[in-house]
Amino acid sequence: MNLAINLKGVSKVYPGVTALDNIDLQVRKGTVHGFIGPNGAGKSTTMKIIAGLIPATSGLVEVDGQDVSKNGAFVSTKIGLLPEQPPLYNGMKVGDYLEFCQAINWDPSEAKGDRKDLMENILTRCKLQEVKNRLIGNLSKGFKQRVAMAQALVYGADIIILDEPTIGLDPNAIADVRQLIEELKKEHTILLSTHQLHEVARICDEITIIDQGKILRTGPLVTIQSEFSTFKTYEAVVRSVGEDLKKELLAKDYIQGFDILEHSEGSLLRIRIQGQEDYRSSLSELIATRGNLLEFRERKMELEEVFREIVRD
Amino acid sequence: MISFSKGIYLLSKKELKDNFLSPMVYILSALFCILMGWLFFNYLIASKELTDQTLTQSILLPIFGNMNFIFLFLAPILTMRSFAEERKLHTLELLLTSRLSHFQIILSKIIANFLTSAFMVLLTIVFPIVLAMSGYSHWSVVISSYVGVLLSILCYISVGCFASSLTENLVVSALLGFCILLSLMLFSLTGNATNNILMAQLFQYLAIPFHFESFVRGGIRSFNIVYMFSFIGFFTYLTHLSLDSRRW
Ligand SMILES: Nc1ncnc2c1ncn2[C@@H]1O[C@H](COP(=O)(O)OP(=O)(O)OP(=O)(O)O)[C@@H](O)[C@H]1O
Ligand SMILES: [Mg+2]
Repeated sequence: MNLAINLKGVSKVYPGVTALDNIDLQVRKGTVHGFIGPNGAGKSTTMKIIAGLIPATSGLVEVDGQDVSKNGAFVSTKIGLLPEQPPLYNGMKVGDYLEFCQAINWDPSEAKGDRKDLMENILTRCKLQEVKNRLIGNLSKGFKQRVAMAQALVYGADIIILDEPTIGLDPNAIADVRQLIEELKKEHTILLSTHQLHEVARICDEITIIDQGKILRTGPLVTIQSEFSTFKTYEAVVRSVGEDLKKELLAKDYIQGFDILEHSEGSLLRIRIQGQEDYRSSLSELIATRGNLLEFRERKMELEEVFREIVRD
Repeated sequence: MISFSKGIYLLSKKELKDNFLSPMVYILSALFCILMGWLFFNYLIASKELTDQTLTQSILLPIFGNMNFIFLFLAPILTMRSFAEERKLHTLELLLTSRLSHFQIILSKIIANFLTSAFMVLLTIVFPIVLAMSGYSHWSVVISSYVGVLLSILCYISVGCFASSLTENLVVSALLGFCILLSLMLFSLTGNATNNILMAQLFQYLAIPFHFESFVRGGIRSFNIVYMFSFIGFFTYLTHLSLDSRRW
């Protein structure tokens, strides 16, 4: 079995809302799996179900080959969960809090190594040594988030589930989280939900896109990205876009469509081309004669656009 | 599974620390002491007139009765945070995804709050000591009354924890706990309304004070103990159900 997480036909119905509709999700061991989708798509719900916090209405949920509904205790040591709302006791000191979290999740028979060593290791990795003796309630948002992350790691779980770990963090802190995930990658399987798509593109091996409780795409990041390179996108910065230019662009049958966006120096013309052929020279010439061409480039499809395309359909 | 007692020890230690680090316990203790001291003083003065009664009848019985009654209000306030606050701050998720079972979590909360109440009750130990100085020596009554009060408080706390598990709002939790307790008290009054002796006894049996009185009067029966523990067990089970069903 090399599946860390395996969901088959899982549905979740809240009174009046179908949050998850018959979803399948496979997370392979040792991968970083990005879980993305618009607000209210059902990401947090899925993660809570995997962690055994809420039961699925129907379907099979397996963690490391074990049924979650039957092996609650096993799953709780196996999975480290960072919930959407960090579960922090504001009246406790960071060190005490983490020790408490470790103690209530520790399984001596499964333990790989010493508790104290692991604790020190995590404190250092999450850069919490300096605030060890401070009250959680007095920490800044960034540190609170780190404590909440440390909480998920501190008992040596194999599978780490992070529900929007970078929410509300400054760019440096986000980079820290990314670095931490890259370190964790070596020993853990990570399921990560976030709205920071460029982060996903940087650190994830596989992604799953979910919307309105349905899985839209799942698979290796590169496969999903290349699926969308069936059309190319060119960008041209022009002073102005006249009606005749628009007409001429529309007349070309290889142009699938174009958008006109605001730009500091005029307008940004984004042209989508059918097929893989290279139309750069003819297009740039056309635009240069009709409009006032300032800049012309080919654009690679970013994950963000892939996401928009998929979710729009 | 963490060994049952270790889990309870870990969590109740944390809860107890929380309780004693918050000002609430000290405010409640102070109020409780002032109230009890004032009552004791009054009963003491009054006992001079009642020369035909023993000190047990004129002072101890009413004092313990009042203590029991005051905890009807204090217990829901003490326990209101247990689950309501954890739910509001999302820390309940931490406990529910840990290796602790529901019963471990609930029992830890009950134990921590019970120990906190026991601390408050302990403050009243000066009363029997004062009485002892004037030659009072019915220690068995004192001890059984304390056991009675503590058991009765344990019942209140199990109700309070249940009420707290139903809501996210502290005030609602305290009020709810208080209402449940009060209606349980009123069972004994309902008993008076019926002519059916069996019904009357049934209602009486269901009310906590009826059992509490056995302790104070020094006539403990086994069914008193059975009642108290089945009461606690029942509300622990209800709390378990409420934790199980009200998951986000
Ligand atoms: N306790 C609940 N009761 C009723 N409906 C709920 C509950 N929790 C979530 N939902 C609904 O389930 C759907 C999925 O919610 P979920 O929190 O999983 O979304 P999400 O993908 O995590 O969104 P976000 O990106 O905003 O965090 C939403 O429509 C939400 O309204
Ligand atoms: Mg969410």
